[in-house]
Amino acid sequence: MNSHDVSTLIMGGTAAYGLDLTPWRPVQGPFTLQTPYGESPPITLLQPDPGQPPVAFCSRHGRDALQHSAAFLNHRAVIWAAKMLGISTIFSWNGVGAIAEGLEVGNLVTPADLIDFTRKRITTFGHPDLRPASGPTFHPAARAAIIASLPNPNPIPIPTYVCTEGPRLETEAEIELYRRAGADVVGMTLSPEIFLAQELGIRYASLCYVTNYATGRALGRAPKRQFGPVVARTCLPILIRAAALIDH
Amino acid sequence: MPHLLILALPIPPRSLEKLGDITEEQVVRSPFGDVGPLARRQQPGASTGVWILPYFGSPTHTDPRATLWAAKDLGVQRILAIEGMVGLAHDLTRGDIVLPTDYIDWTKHQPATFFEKTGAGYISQKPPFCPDISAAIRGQLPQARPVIYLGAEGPRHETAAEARMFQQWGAQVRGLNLVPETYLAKELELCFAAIGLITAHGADRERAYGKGEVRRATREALEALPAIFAALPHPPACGCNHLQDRARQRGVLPKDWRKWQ
Repeated sequence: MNSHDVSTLIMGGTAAYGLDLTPWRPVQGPFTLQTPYGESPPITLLQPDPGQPPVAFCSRHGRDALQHSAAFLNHRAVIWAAKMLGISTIFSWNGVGAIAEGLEVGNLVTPADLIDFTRKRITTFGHPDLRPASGPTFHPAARAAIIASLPNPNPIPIPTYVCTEGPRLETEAEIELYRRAGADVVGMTLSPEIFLAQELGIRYASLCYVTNYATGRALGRAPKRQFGPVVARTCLPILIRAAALIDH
Repeated sequence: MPHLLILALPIPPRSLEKLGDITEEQVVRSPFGDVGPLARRQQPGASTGVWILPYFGSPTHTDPRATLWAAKDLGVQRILAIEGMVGLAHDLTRGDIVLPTDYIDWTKHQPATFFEKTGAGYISQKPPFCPDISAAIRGQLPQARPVIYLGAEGPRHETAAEARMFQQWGAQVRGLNLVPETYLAKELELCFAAIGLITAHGADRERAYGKGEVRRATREALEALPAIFAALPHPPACGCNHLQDRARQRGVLPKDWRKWQ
């Protein structure tokens, strides 16, 4: 495989571990890459449309079952592996809890900004030649490609994602603090992935599937939760469409 | 019947005599380090005892996972902590007794979970503290004021600016032990709740000097212990001991908790 053929990596989150990839036509893999930070998680190349170049796919939490929660992933290995493959854009999907009032379980949002409340994760490659990026948190063009691929407009236009350490869920007092700080959705995943991608000059944007109401934020609604295969089956096609839209 | 464990700030053993004589002492070897010595007190003829473990030194130097592992190993189901706390809210003063009802985690280096290799640490924090123990405390110590607790990384004190920030965040007290103890306890399906004794004021306030009010509050709390112990429902009604049912059913966790990881 010529690495120049693949320019997009889709990082699957919630329910990616149980997803049958056959409908999206795997053409190569799963394979792993050796990086200076250890072995990457398994990567599969998918080519759902023979007229389009393949996209790389990686299940963040493992295969078949949730093997590693967000705090214990080898983030540096996977982002470095993306660079080795010549990836220029990473699209992530990840489950989030709704904090903002206007959000319902099942909604899709594309965060525009992030607040990092993690505490033990390595957020840099630490390489003297690599500089942290300045500018918008999520890459505007990558984000626009996801938005253009959504079946419905974002329920909230400029969402902010707060990243917690986990693996436990948050307390009501913590969610209230994040709400006051300006957060609309809460998850455990995007930091440090996005910061590591930025250091390597890889564009990064995320599609958040609202899987549940954050603690204390059901606001009288039935406490619904959606962690099932529908999350993966909804998100993957959207991100494949986004990959076809983005200009590499 | 499962035992109770009391984690307490150092207290004179005499004040615990009402819980029964010391019947046993143990040091528990856990994968996270040795714990103890723990002392067990039990009334003659009673089937259930109370283990006591003082909070020694700074929590930064002990692994809280060791304490909880030891509790599980000793057959404890319920843990009641008695901790000295800083009163952040300006209407809290030295010698007040509080009951934490929610928490904010502002620790930095404390272990986040027992489960690094599975999804078993994905646990709801509602309720944040065991409802059975909390109800017993409310019933027997009605003066204990419900508060939101901020768990900080010790051993240093908070700065005045941090004390103001914590109050803006909604916290009323600050302490060094309950976080992460309370959520690590949940991971092992243990009940956990705490009584707080306000021993100092937040750094944004005038320093408070003692006139014996903390000693008096400690005595009040300790005198209520036998009644709190007696008020706990058997079997537990709280559900804390079923928090990992789903993980067990899905085969994520084996039946033997000592093999959990």
